[in-house]
Amino acid sequence: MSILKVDTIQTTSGDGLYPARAWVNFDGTGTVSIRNDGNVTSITDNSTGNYTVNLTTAMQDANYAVASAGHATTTTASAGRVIEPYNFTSSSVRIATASSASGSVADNAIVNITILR
Amino acid sequence: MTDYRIIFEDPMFPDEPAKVLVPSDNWLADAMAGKLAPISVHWSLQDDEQKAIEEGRHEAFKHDHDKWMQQFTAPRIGPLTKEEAMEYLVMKDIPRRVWAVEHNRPMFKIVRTEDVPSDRQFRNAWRLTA
Repeated sequence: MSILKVDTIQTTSGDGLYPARAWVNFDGTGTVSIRNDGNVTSITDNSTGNYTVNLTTAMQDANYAVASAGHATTTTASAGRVIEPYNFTSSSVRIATASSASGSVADNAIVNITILR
Repeated sequence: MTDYRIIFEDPMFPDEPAKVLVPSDNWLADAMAGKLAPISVHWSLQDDEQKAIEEGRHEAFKHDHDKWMQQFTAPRIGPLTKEEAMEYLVMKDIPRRVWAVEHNRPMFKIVRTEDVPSDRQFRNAWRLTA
């Protein structure tokens, strides 16, 4: 296996490229489990609709961006969910998932988190 | 799905329910292949960041570059068993106030996945019992 180590990735015209630094797809219902991930050590199931994503390799600071998506179930198109990242540290971010209709915290069957920096 | 979960309670937030740490299969494979940095590397970064938080300068905080690079350059600790990997995970991802301080009752427990309830109806009432 080859490993490419670089500090900066750019297009040929000099524009920066910013690949994801970490990502995770997990099921926050039933027996909470990670479907797949990159640069994630673990997730913590804190309470209903509240999780922490723990990174394997810490970022240089806590000022990264989190892109998120999720859904209540895996198969049914239904009322949506909002996913809110908070409590950023260089090695973890807390995630709250709630019903977009009522605002009440609720578990999500699909939670997708991508960290970009 | 990994075989183990780590259930813990945080003494700083005694009213919160028990938390369940879910390890990553990919990370566990790396741990068993001997690809992890010494835990002291993570502790050093956590201590620096915690100091910044306490001093109110977290927003402007950046890790010292050499210390941060240790995550990649420090000699790897060698292959771990699944159980040793769970212990490493406790030390890395669970606050030290949970496992490094003596309490009057157990504050964390490494359990098998099937021992964690799958019915989350009363999730916010979960507590760790001996």
